[in-house]
Amino acid sequence: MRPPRHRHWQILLLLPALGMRLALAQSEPPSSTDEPVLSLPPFVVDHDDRRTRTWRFVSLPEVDFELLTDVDSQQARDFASNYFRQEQLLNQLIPERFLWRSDQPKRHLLIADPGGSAIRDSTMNALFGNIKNSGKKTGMRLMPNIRLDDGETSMVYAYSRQQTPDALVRLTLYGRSEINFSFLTNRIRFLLARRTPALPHWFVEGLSGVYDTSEFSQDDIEIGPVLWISGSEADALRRNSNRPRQLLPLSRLFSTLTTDQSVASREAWIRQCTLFVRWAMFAEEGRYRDALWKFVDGTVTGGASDSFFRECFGFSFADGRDILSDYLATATNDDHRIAPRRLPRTPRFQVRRATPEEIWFGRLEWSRLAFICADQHFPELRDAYLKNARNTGRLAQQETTDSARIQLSLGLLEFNAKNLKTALPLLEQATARVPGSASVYYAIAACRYQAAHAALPADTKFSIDQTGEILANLDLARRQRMPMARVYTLLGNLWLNSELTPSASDLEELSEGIDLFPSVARISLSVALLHAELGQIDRALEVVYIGLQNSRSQQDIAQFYRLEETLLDQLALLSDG
Amino acid sequence: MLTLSSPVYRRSALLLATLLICVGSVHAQLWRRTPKVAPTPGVNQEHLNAFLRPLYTTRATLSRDGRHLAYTITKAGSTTIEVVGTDYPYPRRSITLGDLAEARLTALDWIAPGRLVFATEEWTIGVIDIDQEVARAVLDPIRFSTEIIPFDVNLAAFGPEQDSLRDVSYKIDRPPRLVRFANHSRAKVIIEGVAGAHLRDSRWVTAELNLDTGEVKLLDAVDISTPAMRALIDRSGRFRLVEERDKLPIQWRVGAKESKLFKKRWRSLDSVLPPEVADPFSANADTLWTERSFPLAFDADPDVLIYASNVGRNTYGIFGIDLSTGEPTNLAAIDQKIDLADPAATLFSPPLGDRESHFRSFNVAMHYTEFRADRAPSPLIVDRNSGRMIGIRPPLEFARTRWIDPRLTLADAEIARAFPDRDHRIIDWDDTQSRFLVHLSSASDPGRYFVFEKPSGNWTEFVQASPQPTREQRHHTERFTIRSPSGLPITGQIAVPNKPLIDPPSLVVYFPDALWQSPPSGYSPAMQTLAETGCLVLQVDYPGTSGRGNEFLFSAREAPDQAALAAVETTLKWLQTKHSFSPRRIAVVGAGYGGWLALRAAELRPDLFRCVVSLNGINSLESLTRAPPERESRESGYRRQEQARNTMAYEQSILDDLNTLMKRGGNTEETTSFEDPTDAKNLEAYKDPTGTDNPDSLSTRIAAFRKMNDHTVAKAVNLRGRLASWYFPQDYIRGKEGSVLQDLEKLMAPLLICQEVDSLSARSDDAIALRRQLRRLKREPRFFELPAATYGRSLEQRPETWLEVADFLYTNLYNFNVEIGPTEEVL
Repeated sequence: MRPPRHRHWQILLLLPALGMRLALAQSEPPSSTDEPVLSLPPFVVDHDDRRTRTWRFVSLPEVDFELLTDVDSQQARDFASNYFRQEQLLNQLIPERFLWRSDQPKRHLLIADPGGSAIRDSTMNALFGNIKNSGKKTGMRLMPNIRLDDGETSMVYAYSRQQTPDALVRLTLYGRSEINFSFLTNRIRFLLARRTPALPHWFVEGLSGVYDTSEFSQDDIEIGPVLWISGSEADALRRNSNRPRQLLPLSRLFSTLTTDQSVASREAWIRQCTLFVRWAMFAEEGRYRDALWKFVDGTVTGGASDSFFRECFGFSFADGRDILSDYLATATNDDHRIAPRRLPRTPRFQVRRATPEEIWFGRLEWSRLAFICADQHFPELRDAYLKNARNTGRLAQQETTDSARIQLSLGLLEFNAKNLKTALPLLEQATARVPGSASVYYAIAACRYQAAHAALPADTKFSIDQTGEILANLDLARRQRMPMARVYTLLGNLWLNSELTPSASDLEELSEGIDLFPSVARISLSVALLHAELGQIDRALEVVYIGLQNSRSQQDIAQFYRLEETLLDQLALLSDG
Repeated sequence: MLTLSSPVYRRSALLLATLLICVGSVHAQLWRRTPKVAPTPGVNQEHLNAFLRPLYTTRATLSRDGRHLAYTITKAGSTTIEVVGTDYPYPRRSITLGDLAEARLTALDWIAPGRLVFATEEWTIGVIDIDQEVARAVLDPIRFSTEIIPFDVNLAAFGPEQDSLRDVSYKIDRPPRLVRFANHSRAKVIIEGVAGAHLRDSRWVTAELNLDTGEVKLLDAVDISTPAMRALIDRSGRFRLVEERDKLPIQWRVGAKESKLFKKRWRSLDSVLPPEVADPFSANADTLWTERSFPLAFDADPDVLIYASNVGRNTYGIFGIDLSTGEPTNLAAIDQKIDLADPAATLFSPPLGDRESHFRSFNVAMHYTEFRADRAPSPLIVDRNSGRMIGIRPPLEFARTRWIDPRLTLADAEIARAFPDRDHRIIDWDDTQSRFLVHLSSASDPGRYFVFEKPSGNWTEFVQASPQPTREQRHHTERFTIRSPSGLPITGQIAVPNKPLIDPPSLVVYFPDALWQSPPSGYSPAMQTLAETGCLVLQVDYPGTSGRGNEFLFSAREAPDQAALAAVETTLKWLQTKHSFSPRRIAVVGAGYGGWLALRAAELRPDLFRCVVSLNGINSLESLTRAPPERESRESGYRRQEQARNTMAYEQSILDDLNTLMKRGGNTEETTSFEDPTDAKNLEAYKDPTGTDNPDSLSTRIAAFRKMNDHTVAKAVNLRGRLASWYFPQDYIRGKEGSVLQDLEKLMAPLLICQEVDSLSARSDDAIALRRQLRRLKREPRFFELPAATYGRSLEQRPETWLEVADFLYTNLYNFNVEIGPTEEVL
């Protein structure tokens, strides 16, 4: 393999199952050995035939879409048009407000297949020779597409191959003139799961399940019958509507978390979530659909209670379970169709050649996300990915002239690599010229926080000026469209370690974090401690109880109980005094 | 020639004119404009039948390993036992029991993983082999019959050729009732049965039935000594406690736990227990209703008796006492607010069906012991595995079960948390107490059966108690509790119609027959049917219902009709704020005692109620003091007890003579030289009852004895009548107050009387008298007669009743504002 500095393009595809963040699709069979398979995100390196490749860029701000691709214009246009259409159809099924929206567009890298496993192998050997030489054996599987994100930025990496009706699972090529695809269920699950305030787990799984049984064409959506355990079980239910069925009480259905359960229980739970959402959306011609949305909205803030369920649907949890049970037999045998009369027309857009900044920014961002993924899941390859990302960054700086966006990306990369000293100046310089994202402002605030904290003498707190500097960036981060839990966590830590006393409005701003991220214990704990420091014991206790209600881990629960004890003692002292 | 002046012409003209005028007037009569009347909506019979259909599933049981569930399905008169695996893929077997008509299963339980035992209202005990999918009867009354040696035989034909009196004996069918599994083997069960053609030959036995071979081995027996007797059996099938209730105070005998057959030693209860414990058992006329104790069962330890008592308390608690030592055990379950046992359960019997009555006609022992196919429900819950008492189910419907075992307590709490607005009942559990068979229901829903697996928290639904009508067709029913002006709680149920016929809807106030009983608070086909007519239905638990202690039971004993009406009026005021209804369209329906309340309500507030329905209703509380027809027919003409004593002495002398005759030979027509029973020196206080010419002839004496035998059984205490006399004011009991007939002029509303005319449980003379009186007042009520049910079903449980009621309500509640105008002359 030629070293990256020779600007050779090569696509290295190293595949499969990374974990929850990756969209898995079709794969080639694994290698014939029984060796463990390394699942690695792909990264893009130079290829010799750059002159024959033209990078194109498409932007559809109406749907937060960007495409960087080396396929031809028509394919790029078809891809973007279809993407827009699928988004519109998706909104017929799922109200937009339930989907994750970031300040950053959803970026897509669509790569034409250059072919060549020889190139791939040589690249692998060059980059990862250490691993091979260490005696660890690796297998590889090809994966057509993958999505990575860092909590704010999301990128999908896909390639098109004429031979296989693949890519994004449902991507099909009709000659070279048209690309039709629909979104993977995992993508939908991702969009639902990332929304803030967080949607209930049952709703995320249930709606994803409904999506999974649906077929999106260009103009309509067909929702197929319920898949209940297996085809034969569905048949059995159709034949005998009194067949036994396992259904959880709704109180348990709504309170269970995705992560709570064994595999078998989880599958059963997901099935029922799907059944419930499907019933609410389609039974009796969608009579309960608005009730479902209302229930979800209310549950986000107030939790799922029987009384609220009654308010929305008109009957209790127990009745709801019975209705669901009765619905099951018919749901295995019926389908539905959503055929909107008119969808919004695809806006006019341009497929143009990508600028160098766009090309390198895309590549750099992908490298950065790939590094984050490797850092989390493949620590032994962390350095290799970081090196690659830095190389890409250096090349990007060379190929573009003083690009603030590139600088931002580089700054974030260094921040992700915990190289705060290098990250901070990059980020601050860049944000002086272009607005940053929530991650950027957070990163700046975090760098300043760490720097200030490291310099603090023991038992001292941040000065007013220091607090102000950090606060300003956290404030900017907080005001972005997509809130982030870590912003509020840092904000809480800042106030706890600051000489400055937070005002009521400061506390209110921080408390927003509890509403947005109720399960992040650190935020609630900070708020409770701050109230306690201000002598507002009753309010502190209220927050503790909210935290207890929302906590899932034993560690968090224990922390809240300890704090509660301390607060109650203080309260007792006050009343004695 | 015909001219205008000719008589013929004039006559013809007159005739023609008359004809034309008549036709014209008829035409005017027929075709005169009448106010438009909307058609009365017809009764949707299909819908009503759906509500009144018997429950699809009435019995369910979980196998002891928790791997299988067995339950009944009754459809179109046929009963099937379904056996389903409780793990996916839920393999299923179906075993048909055939056409049981209306007869229900009274028991269903697991012998072993592949076998079930069942019992039916037809007195059949059988076994189901699941793998073979076969059900077979093991025992029935014929196979369990017993031999009776009658006195009712023509002994004139008795001669030396007769070898034995046994040659003239005959068999009497003896219905077997399943008690429990034998202690040592689940292939054997303990059964009991009573038989007798007369009181003297009536006997109560227990036996061990081998379910594999059908062999019956007698365990114990006790003579039925009085015309009102109850017996309590311990877990090994021995008679341990006998209650003689033919007179007050109630007498008790305690039997030894081990004794030879027919040689049991009995002692009085107060010789076994300390007086403060024993005395409340022997309740007299007052304490029977206020403060007493009564036994429930024997524990696994045969010395320990579990009993209920409210001595010194408002409510009945449950306790244990060791009969061998007289010392209390550590079992003491008390609730301050509700009774844990139902005192009325041992005093009153459910309605008697035609079929059951038939059995009693030749087996009088069933009559004397009130022997029914279904045992009276016990509040005690026993673990199948350990045999220990594990919980208490209070009689108040859907009151929370009190569990003694902590694991059951935890499971119960988890179930309650999962379904807070459902009534739940844990029916069975596996031996490891990991899987529980749970029935979940509500006032709107007869419920569904689930298996709850505690370790995983999984719930698997297996069957609905009644899939028809569907959830959408059923009318939402909710329970309520409000406070009366005096502060006592008023509870009840409201059924809201899915489709009211008018807006606001009509209202039906329903009084069930629940005097001294726990008020019905579960799914009610009656309320659903009434709601199906488009009416809001209100059932108020009137004062006098039980389950909440004596304070509640005895509240409002004065003027009970007015108290019930006051409760209704208070509730109506509250109800109008929750569910509006048309105050001009209120009907009142009542059954039994509730029928009396309904009639009295209509008399006391004729402005409030638009029409009235009485189902087997009574006219006054005096009727409560009379024995039910079945008791009277048996006891009519009986002589007093001293005659019974004479008869027993006389009978003994006949027996002695017959034995001598057997040895010696001879003819009963001979004038005997036997010991003269009429000689006072032979039998103390004897009086010759024969009144014959030849009292010395054995035949004569036998004939005379036969004649008197039918009339010498003492009349048992009419406990219900006694309670009524004690409970209600005397003016009410004597009919001076609260008599429907006395205030009949105030009963102006249209009336429907539904009456079982040949029932042995409900009197019909009140209904007949009411109808007769109303006829005299030219206010004929609508009268609907029904024959007695085959099995013990109340009138309220019968579909025909409600179809009639629905039609009556449609006719009388909805008259669509038809105004009757002034009379017009037409001619």
